[in-house]
Amino acid sequence: MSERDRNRNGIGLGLALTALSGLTMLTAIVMVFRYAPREATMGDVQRIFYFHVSSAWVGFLAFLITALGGLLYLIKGQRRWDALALSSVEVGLTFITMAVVTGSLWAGAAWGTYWTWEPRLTISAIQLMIYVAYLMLRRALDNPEMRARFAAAYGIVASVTVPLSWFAIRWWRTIHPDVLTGGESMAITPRMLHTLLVSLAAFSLLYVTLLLARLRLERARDALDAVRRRFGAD
Amino acid sequence: MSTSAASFARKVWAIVVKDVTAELRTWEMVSAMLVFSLLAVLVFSFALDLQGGLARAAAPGVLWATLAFAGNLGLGRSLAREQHSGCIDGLLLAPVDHSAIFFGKAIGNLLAIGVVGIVLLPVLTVLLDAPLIRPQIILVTLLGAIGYAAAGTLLATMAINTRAREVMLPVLLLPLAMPALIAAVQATAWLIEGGALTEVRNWIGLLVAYDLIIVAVSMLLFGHVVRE
Amino acid sequence: MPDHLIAAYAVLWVLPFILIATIWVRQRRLERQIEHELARMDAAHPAHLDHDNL
Repeated sequence: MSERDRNRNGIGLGLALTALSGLTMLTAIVMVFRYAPREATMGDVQRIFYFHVSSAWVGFLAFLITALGGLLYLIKGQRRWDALALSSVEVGLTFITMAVVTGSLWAGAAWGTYWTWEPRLTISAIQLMIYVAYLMLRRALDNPEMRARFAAAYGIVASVTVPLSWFAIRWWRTIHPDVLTGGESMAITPRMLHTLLVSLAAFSLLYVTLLLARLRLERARDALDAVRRRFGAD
Repeated sequence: MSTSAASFARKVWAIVVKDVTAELRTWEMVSAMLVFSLLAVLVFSFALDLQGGLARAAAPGVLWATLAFAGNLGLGRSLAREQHSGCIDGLLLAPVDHSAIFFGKAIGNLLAIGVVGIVLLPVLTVLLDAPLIRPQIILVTLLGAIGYAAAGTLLATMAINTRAREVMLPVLLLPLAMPALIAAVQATAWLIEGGALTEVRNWIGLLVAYDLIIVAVSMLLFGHVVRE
Repeated sequence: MPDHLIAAYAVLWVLPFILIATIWVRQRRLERQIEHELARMDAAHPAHLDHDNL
């Protein structure tokens, strides 16, 4: 298959994925606003929950992909893995920001304060800082090979600490429950579960779509470098 | 001990001795860390108005915030000094395993943080009226310091090569140190009130798990970040 | 419809839009730069180009 045919297949796949992603997201949104039940104590505001949990889920998934990309880069030395790692960070940062902002809105609506050290929100904030640290590290390194290598190492070691932070925060909150929020207590009915699952699927597909778009950008960057290198000496 | 393990230990020890003797000649790094730590405690005391019951409740936090910040200074300094003197290149040329270099440097950094800890515990006991000089608390402090030093050694090696140099280290290290910081502070808080070690075994377990994982991962990745 | 819910919904649209916009802008810039480089080389050394295998 020539490069041209591979490109065409890629574009076809990209369009199909974008369409599928749009469709599931539309379904999810309809379900969140119409199908999901109106919660007893919080009312309609509780619907933020689906956006908050879904974006947090993707925010963490994306960083896992970054860590894997980094690991594969260190093992195989191929540029494509570093491209994957970086792309996943940019997309993941978008989702984790969404998670933190929706979480803050949720807190404001539920407890009248725009921040609470509730486990999911706290760990999302830490993950956000890790994303920022990753990007700052890359930005502070001029040598491309060192940049890819160091970023890979940071991605790996950082992702390993995230589950540990999760446990630490949960135990901390169990011992010292938030005076305002108390413990996590929301009864999940079947309809809520359906909505949540569809939301998770929709956000995950959106992640993949955005990731592919971002990867395409990396390929363009590589193409430019290739053209410059090939003809730059002339 | 098999001969390869013994020779590994000897290489690690040689690196530790080199770093310690270099520091003992001038004391410049540890003394700066100590003075900084004392000043940090003052800042915390004034900033948070630590008196009476509040002082005691804040003691674990003040201890660990100060250790973390002083630790950053030490980690950054020790690796900057290394780079400045060209020692790392020498070590890399010699037939020394990267992991031996990692352990040697990490132990050296741990010792520096340890010295600060040894001074801070009695100082805080007096200033904040918190009984910190208990063997259980010393154990918790040690466990936390091990993880911090290990992750810090790996990340400082990276940070030194960036445009921002040592300034990059806190940005990289602090988010990753969260589990250890939370666990150490919570365990210390409980132990200050006379709790038994078994009552904080969850936190101890987390610290031990963190240390094992971080030391292993940092050691494995060190080889990738130490070469130019 | 509560304000917070509307705000959250807005965030759901705005943030990915910002990401897509930055990707799109950067993509355009890179593609223009690539074309520029190719045109430059085309003008200087027409024989060296092999479009199908770039």
